[in-house]
Amino acid sequence: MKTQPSVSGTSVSGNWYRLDNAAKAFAPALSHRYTTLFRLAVVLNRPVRVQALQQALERCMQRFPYYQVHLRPGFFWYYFEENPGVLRVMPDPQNPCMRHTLRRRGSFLLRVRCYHRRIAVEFSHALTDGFGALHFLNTLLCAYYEETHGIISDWENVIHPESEQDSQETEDSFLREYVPHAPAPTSVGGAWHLPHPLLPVGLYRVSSGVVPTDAVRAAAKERGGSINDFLTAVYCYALQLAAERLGNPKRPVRVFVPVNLRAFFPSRSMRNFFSVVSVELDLRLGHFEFEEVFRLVFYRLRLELNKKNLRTHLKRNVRNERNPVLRVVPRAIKDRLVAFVYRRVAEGMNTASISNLGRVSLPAEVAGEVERYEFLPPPSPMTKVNCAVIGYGDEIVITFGRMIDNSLVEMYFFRTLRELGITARVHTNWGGD
Amino acid sequence: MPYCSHCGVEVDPKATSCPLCRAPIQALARDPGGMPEYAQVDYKEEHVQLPAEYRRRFALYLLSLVFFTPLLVVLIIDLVQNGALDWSLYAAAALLTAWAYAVIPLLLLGRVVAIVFFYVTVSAGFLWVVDNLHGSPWWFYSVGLPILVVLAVVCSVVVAASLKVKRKGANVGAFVLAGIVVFCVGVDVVITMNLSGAGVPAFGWSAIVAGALLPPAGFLLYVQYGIARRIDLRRRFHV
Repeated sequence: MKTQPSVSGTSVSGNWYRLDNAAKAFAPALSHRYTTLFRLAVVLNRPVRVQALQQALERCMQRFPYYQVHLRPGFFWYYFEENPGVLRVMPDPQNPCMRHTLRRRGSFLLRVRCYHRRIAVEFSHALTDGFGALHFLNTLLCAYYEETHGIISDWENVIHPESEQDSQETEDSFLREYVPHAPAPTSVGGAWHLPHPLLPVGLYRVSSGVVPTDAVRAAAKERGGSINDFLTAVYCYALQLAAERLGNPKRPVRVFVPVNLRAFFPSRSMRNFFSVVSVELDLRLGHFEFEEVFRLVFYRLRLELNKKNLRTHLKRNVRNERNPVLRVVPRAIKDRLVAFVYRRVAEGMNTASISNLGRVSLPAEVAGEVERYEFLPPPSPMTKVNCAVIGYGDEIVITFGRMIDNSLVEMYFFRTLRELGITARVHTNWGGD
Repeated sequence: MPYCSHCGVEVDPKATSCPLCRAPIQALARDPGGMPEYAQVDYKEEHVQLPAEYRRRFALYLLSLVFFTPLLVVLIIDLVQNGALDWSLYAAAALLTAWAYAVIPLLLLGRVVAIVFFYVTVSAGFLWVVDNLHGSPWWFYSVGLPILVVLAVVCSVVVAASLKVKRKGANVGAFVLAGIVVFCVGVDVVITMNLSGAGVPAFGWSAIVAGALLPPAGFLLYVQYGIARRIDLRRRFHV
C-alpha cells in the first residue's frame, strides 16, 4: 500500500477535506457557463411529497458528511469545509444545472430539486462523479420511500442512511493508484466542434429519448457488442452526419467516453474516480458507414479499457497535481492556469462526450414506485452538446444537454436509431413535448 | 393531499403555500394531470443562510486576522530597526484596543450593560498602558480616568434618555448637545483641578461651550415639545 497525503482533517470550523485529483481541475473552472453540474433524476409514479423528501434528505446528509461541505479557497488549493447550513429541497426550474452560486460561502455543491413526480439531484463534478451521485440519489429515494410508505426490509445495494460510514469513502483513489514511473498516454490534438453560437447564460436545452432496453440490446447483440458500444457508435455516427452537413471538418470528430475506474481498481471512494477514453473518426478519410463506426468503437473501447492503459491516464491526471513547482504556486495564479487548460485544452480535445451509468437496480419495494431514471451531462460551452445514458427497468433514457439552439445532433441520433429499428419517445425542456 | 399547481408536488394538508415556489395552494382533490415534463419557469437560487453562531465565529476570526496582522508587522519592523520594542508598543496597544472594541459586541451579543462596562474597562486599560509604557506614570489617575468616567456616564445617560422618550426627533439632538456641554464642563473641571495647580474646581472654556450649545439645545426641545405638538412637521416638510 502506497502512502498518500491525508485527505481530510479537523479545523476550528469543523471537518475539512482535500479536493480529489479531478476536483482540482473542476473547482477553478467553475463559472456561470462551466457550472460543472450534472444531474441525476428519478421519475416516480405519483407526485412527490415535499416535506417527506426534506426529512429524507436530512437523514441522508448525516450519512454522507463529505457532501455536507462548501468550497473554500486555500492559499495553494481549494478545499472542502464542513457546511453548517441545512440543505433544502428546491423547486426544479426549466433550465437545470444552471444558475449556481457554488463558490459562495455556505453554498452546497449539490442541489436536490423536485417537480411533480421527479426528484433530481444536481452535483458539481468537483464533489463526486456519477457513481457517488447515483448512490446518493438511491439512498435519498429509499429514505423518501420509508418516510411515505414504511420500512424497507432489504436495502440490497443501496446505502442505508443509518449505516456506518466507511473511511475509504473519502479517499482520493487517484493518488492511491498513481504509479509515478508509468508513462503518460500520447497526447492528442484539437477536435472538431459544432460552430453554432452559445445560448444566453442560464439556458440549457435538454432532450430526453426513452427507448426499450430489449430493442437496443438486440441491436447491439446482433453486432456482437454491448449496449454501450452500440449507443456510442450511434452518437459518433450522428456527430459525423452533423459535421458533414456543417462543412468539411479538418479536425477529427472525437467522442470522449467517461470510464468508472472502480471497475478496474479496488476503490470504495464516493468522490471522483473516473477517467476518459476516446473514439475518433477522421472525416478526411471519407464517410464512415454505421457498421464501420460500430466496429471502430467496439475495438477501440476494448483496446483502451484495461488496467495498464488506464494507469497511463492516471499518470496524466496526477502528475500535474504532484508537480512540485505547480504545488507551490498560489491558488489565485493557479486558478487562471488550470481554468485555461481545462476549458481550452482538455475540453478542446473532444467534440462531445457520452456517459453511460448503466442499469440501476433498487430494492423490490421501491422498484415498483419508480417510472424511470434520467441522467443529464454537465453543460460545456466548448463541446456544446453532450449525451448521457441511464437504464432502469425495461427502458433506457438517453439525454442530450446542449448550450446551442440547434438540435441537429440529437435529431440525427434519434433518426439513426429509428433507421436501425428503435423508436424513441422524446421529451424536452424547450417546448418539444 | 393538496398539490402545488406550479410544481405539481404534494404538500401537507395544512399548507397554505408551496414550500418550494411559495405559490398559494389551491384545494385540488387529485394529482394535477397533464403537467408538462419540465417546469416552465426558472427560479432564482436562494442563498443558504448559515447559522448565526457560524457567522459570528467567522467574524471573530476575520477581525482577529485584520488587527493581528498589522500588529505583528509593526512589532517586527520595530524589532528589526531598533533591536528592541519601542514605539511599536503604542501601536500594538492601539490595535489591541481596536480589536477589543470590534469583538466585544460579538462576544456579548446584545447585553448592553456588559458591553458598556467592558468598553469602559478596555478604554481605561488602554490609557493606563499608554501612561505606563515609558517613564513614570503621572496623568492616568489624575486626568485620564476621571475624564473617561465622565465620558462613559454622559454617553450612557444620553443614550438611555434618547431610548426612553416615546417620540424621537429634535429632542435626541438636544440630549446630545446637552451631553457635550456636560462632558466639556467635566473635562474643564478635571483639567483645572489637576493640571493648572489650582486644586479647586473652576470653569473656563467650558462656559463658552455651554453658552454656545445650550440655547440650540433649548430650541430643539421647544421644537419637539412646543411646536411639533401643535403642528405636524412631517406633513409640512415631507419630501
